[in-house]
Amino acid sequence: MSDVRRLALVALAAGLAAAPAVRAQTVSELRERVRRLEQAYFAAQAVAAPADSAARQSNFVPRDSATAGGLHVFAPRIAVANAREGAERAWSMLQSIFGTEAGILANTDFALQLERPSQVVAAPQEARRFIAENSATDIANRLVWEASQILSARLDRRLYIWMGGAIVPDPHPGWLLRATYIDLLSAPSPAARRCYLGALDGCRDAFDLPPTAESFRRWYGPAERRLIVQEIIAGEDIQLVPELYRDCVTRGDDSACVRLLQRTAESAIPAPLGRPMRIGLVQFALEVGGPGAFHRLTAAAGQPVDAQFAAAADMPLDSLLAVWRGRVLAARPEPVTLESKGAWVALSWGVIFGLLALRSTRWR
Amino acid sequence: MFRAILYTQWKWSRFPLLLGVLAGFALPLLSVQRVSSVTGYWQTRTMLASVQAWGILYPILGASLALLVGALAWAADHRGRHVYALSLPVPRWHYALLRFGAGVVLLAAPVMAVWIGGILATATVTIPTGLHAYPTMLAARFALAVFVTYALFFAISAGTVRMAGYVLGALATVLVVEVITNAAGAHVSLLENLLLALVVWPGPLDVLTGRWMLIDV
Repeated sequence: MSDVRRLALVALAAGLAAAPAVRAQTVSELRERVRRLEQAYFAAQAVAAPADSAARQSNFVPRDSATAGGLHVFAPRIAVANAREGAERAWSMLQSIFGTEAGILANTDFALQLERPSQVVAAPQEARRFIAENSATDIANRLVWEASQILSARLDRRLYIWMGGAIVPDPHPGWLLRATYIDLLSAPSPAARRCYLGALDGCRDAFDLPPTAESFRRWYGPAERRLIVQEIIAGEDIQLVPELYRDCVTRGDDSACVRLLQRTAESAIPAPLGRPMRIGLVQFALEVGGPGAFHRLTAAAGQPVDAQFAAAADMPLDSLLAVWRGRVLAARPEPVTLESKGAWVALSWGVIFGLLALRSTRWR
Repeated sequence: MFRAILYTQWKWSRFPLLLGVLAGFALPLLSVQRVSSVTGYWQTRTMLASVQAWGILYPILGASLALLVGALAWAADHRGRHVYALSLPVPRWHYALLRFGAGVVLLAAPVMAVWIGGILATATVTIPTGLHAYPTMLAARFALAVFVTYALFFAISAGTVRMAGYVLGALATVLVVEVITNAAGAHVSLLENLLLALVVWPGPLDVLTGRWMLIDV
């Protein structure tokens, strides 16, 4: 039973016991009742405090630590080995993206709280607590996420808003590249199409670099804007201005579509290359820029967003986009194909099994 | 003689075959439902994930059909203790080849259904720019998967009970060895390796694995 409930019950019981038959009370009687209730409350608290303290003690475990590079993790004793391995993996991933700047994590302590069994490790109060299962992989992933929040908080505010989230190193970067390929190829945006075909200004537009106020104008032409209004934007926005919706969708008036989109929250308009792809581009710039890239990126805070990219990657934005595009095109997912060697192997197995059936010993 | 065997096998396996034809035809049509939804144009990745999720059913359908047709091809012979087969003026290999061929011919129907269903399905939806439909490639892969699994199940059904016992005994031995070695602290993954040998190229069931996409990049 929790403190609050226990106290409330004790106080209620004391109050009921103290209550005389229902009748009018004088002020002095009321004061006396309040005093007795307070006494009962303090008595209950005195009983509850040691009990709760004992309960807390049973979940608290002495601290032990696992260190890898700049990562210092306080972990319960039963999880130290996994914490150490997780911290090593996490450090390697963090270094691959944040480079030398990951060293600032040495100023932060991390405290691992086990999900199962529910245990809280004794750690400095200012330590950043994170919950994980007692497995190296889970600890590594959670640790990377926590550390990434700390490091990403050092980024320029406008860059952070443009990205829409923190840079979190991905253990499977190939997945993002393949997803980017699909988006680049299939997004109904002339800008994305131009980017796919090799026009770097198309890539800049698709990424909204540098960020502009009405990015949908860069992404979509009149036909797509009408489609967005028709298929994506709905509900209250349209009910408030039915005439605009009619002009846009029925009459095909682009100015009405633009005015409707201007009234719409930016996040509701689908970007051809959305948040994961933007974060992926920043990660790519850091990868290209080498170990000092994140340091240069944070040092360039306050500059235009595209200039920050150039600083991080140590090359002009267009060059970075060209390399990025090449990497994305190279990550084209394998379509459903039937390679000739696979087909021959399957046929051969079929024939082998068929021959085995013909040579069965049943009739011998 | 082939026509007679084909006819008898058709009689034995017509219900699963008809169901298979129906399922094979419907599967591509169902898998593109998401493509034609109003927001499909803006959610290509979600749509592809949906197509991929439906794709899991192709190898399952193919293997199930192959299992049923392969087992039913020999069921009557096993029940009649092969008296009918022995009464025929043909050697055993010839008789087995006729049975095998009849099964292959029958299984062509669901393969055709997948192919026609795929062509129809992709013709009835607007595929987002940059993506392509692969009905023929998918049907070809389905055909190979059905052929390999049919041959495998046909061979197993054609074998003797003793042979089946040997196979099961070998599997049990592998399992017992793995349990004992793991209990002794040595981590041996015999079953896993066996499974990998079956499903990873050049294993016989490699054709069943991977992505089965009617629409893809």
